[in-house]
Amino acid sequence: MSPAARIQIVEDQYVVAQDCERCLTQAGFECIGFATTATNAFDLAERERPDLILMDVRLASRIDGVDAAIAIFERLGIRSLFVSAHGDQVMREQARLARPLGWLNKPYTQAELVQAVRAAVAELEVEKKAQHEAFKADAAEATSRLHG
Amino acid sequence: MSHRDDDSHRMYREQSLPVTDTTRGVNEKLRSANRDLTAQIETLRRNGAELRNLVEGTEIGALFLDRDMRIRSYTQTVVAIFALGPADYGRPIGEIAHWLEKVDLVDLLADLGRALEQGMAVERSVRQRTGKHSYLMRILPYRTSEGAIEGVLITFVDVTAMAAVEEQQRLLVAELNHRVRNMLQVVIGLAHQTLRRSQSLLDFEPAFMGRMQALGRAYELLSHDGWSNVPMAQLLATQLDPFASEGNRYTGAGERVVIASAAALSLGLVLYELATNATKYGALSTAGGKIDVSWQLADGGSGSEEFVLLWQESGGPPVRPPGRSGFGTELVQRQLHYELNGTASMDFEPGGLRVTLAIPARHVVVESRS
Repeated sequence: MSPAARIQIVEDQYVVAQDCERCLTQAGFECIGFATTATNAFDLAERERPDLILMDVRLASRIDGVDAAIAIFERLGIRSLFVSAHGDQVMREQARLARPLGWLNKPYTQAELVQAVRAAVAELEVEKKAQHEAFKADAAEATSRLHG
Repeated sequence: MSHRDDDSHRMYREQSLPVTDTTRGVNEKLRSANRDLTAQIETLRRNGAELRNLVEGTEIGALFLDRDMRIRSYTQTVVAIFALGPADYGRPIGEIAHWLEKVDLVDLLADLGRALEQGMAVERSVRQRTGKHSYLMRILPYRTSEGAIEGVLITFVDVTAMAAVEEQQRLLVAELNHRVRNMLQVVIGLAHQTLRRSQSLLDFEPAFMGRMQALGRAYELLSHDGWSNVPMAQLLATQLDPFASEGNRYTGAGERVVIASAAALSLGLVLYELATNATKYGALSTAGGKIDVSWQLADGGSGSEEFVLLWQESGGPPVRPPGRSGFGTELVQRQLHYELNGTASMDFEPGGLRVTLAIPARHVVVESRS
């Protein structure tokens, strides 16, 4: 098992954010910090480079979590697991630009949160492995061409 | 008799016909038929005018198509929907259907076909492409007075206002749904945090229920005013009255300000935690203690204005700083910073606890300077 996944929490309510952190820490993940607005979320992600972001779609800022997640994915390549209190289909459609790692509906239990984050981390690991294999294959091909 | 003779004579001359009793009778009948016809035409014309007035008055658009789905006639309302002109008589419906949004031409022709062939009526919601008016479109068979289907009638009822109300209703329900789900997540968070700091379920119950009631009071206050702003004095009273209403145990003084909804929820919960702590350990735990709360807008440094609230306890038991701070204290110290970019400082002075809360002035609106 790789080292604990580093998670950034974007949530504008204190009690919810605290509860989330405690739950994830107990489950063995590392919480690298909180943000309540889109701008703070971007700055924190740029500075800390988390493995993934737990992103509430409604934030204390004018720009919502979906747009923040898209900007973060496009510029930093970091993906989000979205947390939402409503199942707006249009919003989900828009969020696809951020390559979501999943959707978690409020209200969620601790077990649901941990399960969703584990699934997201597993997906990231599969992706990373595939990238690694592709890189190795490319390298092998280049080497054989050199020698052949 | 002579009158009739003269009359007959004139007819004879005009029509160059032999005057007989038969022709005289026919003439009489013709004249009578003519009178009837004129009267009937007049009735028809009046009925037609009434119908036209009725149709235009109700603003229901009507488009009449012949058996080949070509435009036969239309009312004034339809002109606006399809931008019709005199040259459009006889034009196939397919050529003007693009003026409607949310209409597939194949589906439309199928509906029209069913109306024509099977006499089936159908209702569709459509929108006008340029004007953004919404219509209820009804497709009906056009029947002659004998009952034969001779074409299709399409009517348009403008439902724009209704559609706007429905949309608003949908948004309101979605927003309420969002807030309820969000609040449930806060409840779950409060339950976990309270449970973690409770020695037993006996500890947990009053602490948790107290927070639920505080949350409930804050929401109730917000819903009074349609989820807009909450007067500061009212916010304070809502959270303190349950603890200190008897014997004037607290005072509140400050400018007439209202607090924005999100900030009011946050501040309300903090005031509740302060009040419940005062009841357990502070000024409200003894008979002679009281709390003075005051607030004002002040310069927060670097040109930014702050809303500052001062909570001063006095007359209570000797003050000792808490050894292990509970969740309530943590919430007081950190929630305003986290949610509103504010600050909170707690000074355990010998005479009584003094708490200073400050939040950026953008969360507050001054009603009147006094």
